[in-house]
Amino acid sequence: MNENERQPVALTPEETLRYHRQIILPQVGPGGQERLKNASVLLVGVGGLGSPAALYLAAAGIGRLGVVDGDVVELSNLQRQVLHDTPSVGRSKTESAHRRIARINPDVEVHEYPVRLTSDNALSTLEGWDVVVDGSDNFPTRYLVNDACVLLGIPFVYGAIFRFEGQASVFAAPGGPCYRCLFRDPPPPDAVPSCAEAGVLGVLPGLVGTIQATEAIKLVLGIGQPLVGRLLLVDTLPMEFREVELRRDPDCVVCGEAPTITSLIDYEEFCGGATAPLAAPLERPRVPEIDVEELRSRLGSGRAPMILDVRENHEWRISNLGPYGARLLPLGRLQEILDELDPEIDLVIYCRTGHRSAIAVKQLSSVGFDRALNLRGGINEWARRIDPSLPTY
Amino acid sequence: MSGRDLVTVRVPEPLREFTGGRGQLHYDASTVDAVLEQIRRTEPLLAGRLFEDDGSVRGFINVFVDGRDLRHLAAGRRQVRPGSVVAIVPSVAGG
Ligand SMILES: [Zn+2]
Repeated sequence: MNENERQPVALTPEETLRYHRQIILPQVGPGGQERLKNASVLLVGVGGLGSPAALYLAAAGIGRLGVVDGDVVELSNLQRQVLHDTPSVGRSKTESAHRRIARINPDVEVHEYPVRLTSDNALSTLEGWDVVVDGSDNFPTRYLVNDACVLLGIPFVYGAIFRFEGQASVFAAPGGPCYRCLFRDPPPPDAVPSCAEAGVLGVLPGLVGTIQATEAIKLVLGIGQPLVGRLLLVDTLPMEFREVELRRDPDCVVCGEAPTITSLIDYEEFCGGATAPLAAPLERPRVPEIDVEELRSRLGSGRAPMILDVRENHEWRISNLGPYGARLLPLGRLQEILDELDPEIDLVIYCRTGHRSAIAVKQLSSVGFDRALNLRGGINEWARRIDPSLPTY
Repeated sequence: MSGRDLVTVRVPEPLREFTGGRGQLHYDASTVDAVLEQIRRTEPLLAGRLFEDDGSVRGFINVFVDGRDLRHLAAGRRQVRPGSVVAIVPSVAGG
């Protein structure tokens, strides 16, 4: 977008009425409201975080909103992506966002980018926007947004969530740190539990995305203390908000004193293939496996292995291989049995779909358990192919 | 000794599968280095996630001692007190 030559536009009488409660704030006033009207904010991702951000930015009177998202609305999105509604299932998220924003505030100019942000389109897409709100759901896009914003000199409001916990900050603001100053490297693909298995509390992105909208508005108005150099940590179960101090890293590869990244790179490669969005499992470690048919035949023979279930208690109550002697030991407690088990024993390990159990097999093999096998497809596969009386989940 | 007399290590959600679901660990220590050493000894699975082979904290994880980044704490400023909070903050991508 090239909007540099746009002339500032004053408020209409109707707008003065619409934004009255905001205009009477001394920190905003008619001048501040005009700033919002002449401002542009780009939302990268209109999912869990981008949804509440878009709703509040539109309602607050940001003049131009851009929405970047290559996905379509799915039924399983609606538990948290409050910008979209049931009739929009199957539509592109940008189209759904556009329609909803127009209904909230027809004065907002909406630019749709119904694509995934890539190294090829990021600079041209981000250029010219005043503030970027990062509500993406994968590591390559997060590093891409960071680098593009640093290179273009655009501050971006960061937010990220996992299960019951969230993070928020403002990166790439003048003099402040960037995302890479905080997280130098992306995690290896197997280091972060899959969100599809982990889940997320629907209201959590509502909290964090609303904080992101607040920060975007503060940046446009130039009021208050933005989250520059601070990382806000939100934990919904104890309901705690804490913050930690961030500093710009002089050795940062993109915003430091001698940057080595001066143009966009291949972010998929940089993140080692960790491209999985919220809905897809991450790559699992490659470990020795056994399939469900083979396990069944071994259970009926004299070579029955010991079976370990590395899921959590509540999952065991849904389905389990207890009738075959399976023992429940959640992945995090694996170390407790290391001393009491013979490393020479035949072990079969399962979880829901085979991801956590692959991690368990990898951990066990690193301490000498050479005969541990991962049950391919997990207990859900067992339920589908061997015992249909068990529920899948 | 209660948690108040000890140093609290906050374990975030993504790493709790390596602590048996526990969100807080408590240690009796006077420096952050002693805390990290006790994590290595008592929580090997968690330590395997936190540290590189050379003992440094991995690049996608940050450790904050009472709100200050461990990487920026000079040798003389690594003391912790009873009640100190050592927060482990991993990168998460959910949106
Ligand atoms: Zn940086």
